[in-house]
Amino acid sequence: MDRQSVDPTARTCADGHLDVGGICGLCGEWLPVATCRAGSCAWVAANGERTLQEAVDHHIATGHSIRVIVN
Amino acid sequence: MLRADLNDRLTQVGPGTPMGELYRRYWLPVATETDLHDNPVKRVRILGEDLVLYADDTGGLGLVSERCPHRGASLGYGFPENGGLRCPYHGWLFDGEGTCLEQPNQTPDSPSLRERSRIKGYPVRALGGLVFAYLGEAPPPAFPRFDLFTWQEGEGKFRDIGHAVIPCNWLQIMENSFDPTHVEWLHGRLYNYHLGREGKEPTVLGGHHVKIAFDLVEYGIIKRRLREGQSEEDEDWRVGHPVVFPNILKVGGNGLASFQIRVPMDDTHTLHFWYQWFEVPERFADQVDEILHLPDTYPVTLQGPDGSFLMDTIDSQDAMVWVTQGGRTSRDDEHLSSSDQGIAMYRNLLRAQLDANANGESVMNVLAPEDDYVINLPQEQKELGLDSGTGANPFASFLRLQSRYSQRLPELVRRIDAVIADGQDAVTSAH
Repeated sequence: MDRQSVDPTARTCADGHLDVGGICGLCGEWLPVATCRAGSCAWVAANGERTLQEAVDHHIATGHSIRVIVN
Repeated sequence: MLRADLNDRLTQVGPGTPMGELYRRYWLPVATETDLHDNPVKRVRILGEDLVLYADDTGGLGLVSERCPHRGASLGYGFPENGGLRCPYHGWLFDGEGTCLEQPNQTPDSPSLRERSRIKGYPVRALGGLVFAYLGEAPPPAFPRFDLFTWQEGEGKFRDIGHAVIPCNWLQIMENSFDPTHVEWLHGRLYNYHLGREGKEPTVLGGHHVKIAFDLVEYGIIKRRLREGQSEEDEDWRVGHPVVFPNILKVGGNGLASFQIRVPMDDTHTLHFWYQWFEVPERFADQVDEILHLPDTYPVTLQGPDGSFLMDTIDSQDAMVWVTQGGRTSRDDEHLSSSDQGIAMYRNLLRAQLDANANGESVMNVLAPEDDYVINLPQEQKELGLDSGTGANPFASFLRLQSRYSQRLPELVRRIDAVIADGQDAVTSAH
């Protein structure tokens, strides 16, 4: 699989596969990536089920707009 | 999936529940001004509380507990008098703050009994044709002056408000607003199946989604969609649909701008408003003056006589999938897929706002009383696939929405049809 973690803290999906955002190539679980839209902020999260929780927490902490894209 | 205890936390709205307390931070629409004008005493159920909304004989508005503290009869059958609401049973009089002003036949007058007979009273205000109530702790926050609530009728623009009680939990309705791909199936493929069986023209809503996105923004979440044949310059992607936290969806296009407002009545019923503004092209603008005498409020029919949901409007299709999940659906047996990321985001936003409220922190869209400014929201123009550039009646397609139950819109469509026919006759005569 040609996948690369965008977050050094990335964890695993529910089945223990590497969590890098997108569809897990092994189990098919959806692993979202949340990206901060603020120009000066490089925050990205791709932590499986925790991604959206962290996105909301980052938005509340900073007021930045966060985008999650599903292709 | 969502554990049962977390599902309870997000869905239960009665007094003392986490979500009930969060909703009590907001002004909520509970009726239309027109409905209250037609009958100035109206029973309402909001956040698990049975209340009576009334307009008193001086024009003031009040919202008080339904149960009279004297003998328990319903104040919903009372009548407005002397700046308050009288109980139908023995005439006890209450003001909008719930203070008992009079207890006829109680001799001698007992200030102590009157004080002990106080009932709940909540602040009420009218704006844009809706009556809003605030059921939380004083002081109330700033009024929700979102753009459409502040518009004025006239010059080709008019308001129309549909309403219905949806027999299911509010969250089932709101989660639908974070689910772009359901449009492709429920309002596209399924609708076309039914239209085809009736020999009618199909909708264009069945286009396949190639990409969706959800943006967390200062007032809520914007959902975006990109369908086959579209580019990122298309409004579906570039503008998107804003959802104002916690319970307002803004949609529209081609002359329609609307809020869909979902107000929890209790854990298994939701008061739904379709709050719509129509802007008529200049060619037909004078027709609007001919419909403004008609009521701007109407009940929406979603089910047939046998209880089956009607499949002939986009809104009754939506109601079908909301309600058939159950009165308050379980979520520990669901299987969210990749297209449900907006739902997951919204649940996380709810979770964060519940935590903030429990900790006494500020919550989204609860503004300080002095922040009484208008909040403008983005509005895409192409939603619903309606096209006004074909030469046909630009408003006829709105009759595929719940607007067909309006008194104003169908009359306007008839009038525009007549204007178009007259124009064609004139062209024919000239030749």
